[in-house]
Amino acid sequence: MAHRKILSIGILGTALMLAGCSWFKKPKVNNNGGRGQKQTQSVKGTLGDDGEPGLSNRSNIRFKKVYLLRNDFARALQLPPNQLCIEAGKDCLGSYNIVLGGVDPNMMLYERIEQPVTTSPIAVERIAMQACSRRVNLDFGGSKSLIFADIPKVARHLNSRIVMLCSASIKTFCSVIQRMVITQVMKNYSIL
Amino acid sequence: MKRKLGTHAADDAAKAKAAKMNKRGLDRREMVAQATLLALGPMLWSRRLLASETASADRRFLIVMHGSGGASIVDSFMALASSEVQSAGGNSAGLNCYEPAQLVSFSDSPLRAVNYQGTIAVLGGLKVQGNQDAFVKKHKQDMMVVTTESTSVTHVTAQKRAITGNEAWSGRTIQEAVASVYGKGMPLANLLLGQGGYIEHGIDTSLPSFAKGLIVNDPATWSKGLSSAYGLDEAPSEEVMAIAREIRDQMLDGPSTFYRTFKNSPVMQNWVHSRGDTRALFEQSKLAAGLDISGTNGSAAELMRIFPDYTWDPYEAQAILACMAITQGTTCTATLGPGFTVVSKGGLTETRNPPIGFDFSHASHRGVQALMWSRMLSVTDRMIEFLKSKEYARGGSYWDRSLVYFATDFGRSRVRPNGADVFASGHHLNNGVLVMSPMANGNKVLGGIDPKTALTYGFNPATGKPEPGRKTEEKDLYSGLLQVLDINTSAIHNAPDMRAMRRR
Repeated sequence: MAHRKILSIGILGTALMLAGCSWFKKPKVNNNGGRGQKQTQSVKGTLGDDGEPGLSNRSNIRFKKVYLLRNDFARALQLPPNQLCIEAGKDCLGSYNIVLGGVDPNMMLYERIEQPVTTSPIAVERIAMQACSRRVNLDFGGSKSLIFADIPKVARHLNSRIVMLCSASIKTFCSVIQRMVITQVMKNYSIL
Repeated sequence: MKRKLGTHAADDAAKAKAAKMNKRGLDRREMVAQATLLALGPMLWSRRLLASETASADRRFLIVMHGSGGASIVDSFMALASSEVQSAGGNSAGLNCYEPAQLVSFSDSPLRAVNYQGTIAVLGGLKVQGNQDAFVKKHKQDMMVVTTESTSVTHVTAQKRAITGNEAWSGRTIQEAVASVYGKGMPLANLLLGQGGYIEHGIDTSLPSFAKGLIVNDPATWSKGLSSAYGLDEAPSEEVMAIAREIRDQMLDGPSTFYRTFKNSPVMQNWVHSRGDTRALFEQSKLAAGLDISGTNGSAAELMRIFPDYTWDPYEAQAILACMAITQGTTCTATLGPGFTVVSKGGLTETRNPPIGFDFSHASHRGVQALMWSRMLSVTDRMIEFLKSKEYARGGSYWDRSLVYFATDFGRSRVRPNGADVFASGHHLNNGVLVMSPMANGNKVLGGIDPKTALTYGFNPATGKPEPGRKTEEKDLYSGLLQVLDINTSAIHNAPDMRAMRRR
């Protein structure tokens, strides 16, 4: 059980570190032939998670606001947003507020940093790790399991390929992550 | 055309790999290979790092100690006596000058000290005992006052100009300039622990990325964020983490539409690099553990005794982190200082930091100046003692290679009503700053003060001789500070040679 817990934290935690899904905000594409669409070059090959791959020449990606990130994590793990991670007894998003693109009027910092800094992805990993640890503890701790509730069933009937195909029709990245993670957890149980 | 084909081929290979991964996941051999690479990567990088560090180990350290809100030089080391104003024919009752009992002069130093005792009525009658004389006696050989004339009385603008020399070097801040010269190979070369314009980034696009400052908003806990798992009880093993990262990178990120669409973005590439190589380096160097302010960390434990109030006073926590980062070879410049928010252990009468810091002089000038100067000098004194106690690898102590720049927004107005001891002040461009370093021209006041107006004036950059009518501009100060730190300032347009600021 302990081994499963640790493995689950690792897999689920790092899956949540997903930069592409969780950290950057995807610019809106103008479906009526806006600039973004015009300059998008289509790429043939394996489909992505929504079946619409392409290479952006403009590469205009933006830093997702820290509280949007928090809410995404909270929704994915079904945890209260202020209890994702705790450092020194406080909500850790306060500790990493600035590196995660927040502002702090007490520091007279009214404008967020435009781009992630070196430590930003590490802070995201840390938050994900703590948040997932909480989820796993809850799910394995006797209370009603939410994310890991159906692992045995999933193990019998799903594999990563099915999940990848299913994910193409799933709109929210949180749902994608949850399903992919469960599958990967099961796959690696057997590997190890 | 060939290039295009090559690119497509690489893309196809990547797609094939991704498809393969999707189909069958990771086998044991791949896992071992990936885990080995992950483990070896940082070690290889660290060796390169070590080599570059060795090459530039003759470092200097800059501490920007900011006095937000206007740390007034005429309420500290250039204070005037009422008798001096009267002798010069000025109106001592209308100027901010001190009675003889409040002012300390030294026979062997041009520096002065204000020993002010009073209360701040608007802070519930807070008692203030601002004795500066002990600090001056102890450190005068390393203290240099430089008179200044700034160009803005708007806080954040003035703060930014105080660290860029009013954009003297293409908008590069003094911290960035120092980090670009002495910070190569350091993981966190430029640590910004303070507030406001003092921790803003410069605008010089040619700045090396390692010299860009990292802002720390919570010094007591921030360092934990330098590792994804440090101190977490339920963190998985490195092996499991390696597998999980592999899954993330190859199976989730790699094939995702988002990544494939934006993989050419420099922001995305930096992100991937940071969460890979940089994270591995940080974790392999045990940065989070080394900079953790906790009793289990030896160097932190020593500093926690020196700065015991770090749990409730962020300035003391900043000082601990700055001292650790400098003496552990992590950082070559740290910016810290009291902020604009109230710091108090208890009620109003235990206020250590008034609201808006030095700027609370708008309500009660002398009490606030005395309180805030005492606060800054106390932290600085303890930091200097710590740096003196730590030996630098090439000989001498860390303090021998350090410079503390007491940056401030601007000065304060010089007038007072009817000889009042308690009065309010406004912003003023005219001022002076304290610079402390064994490399600076210590025990000196560069420039002078007109006793009739209490306004300071400049000095000859070569000789240091006071020159009434001359002003020390932001660019002059910026250049002089860099020159004290042995940094070539030829990139600054018309940079003066501030020979007078360097120890002879």
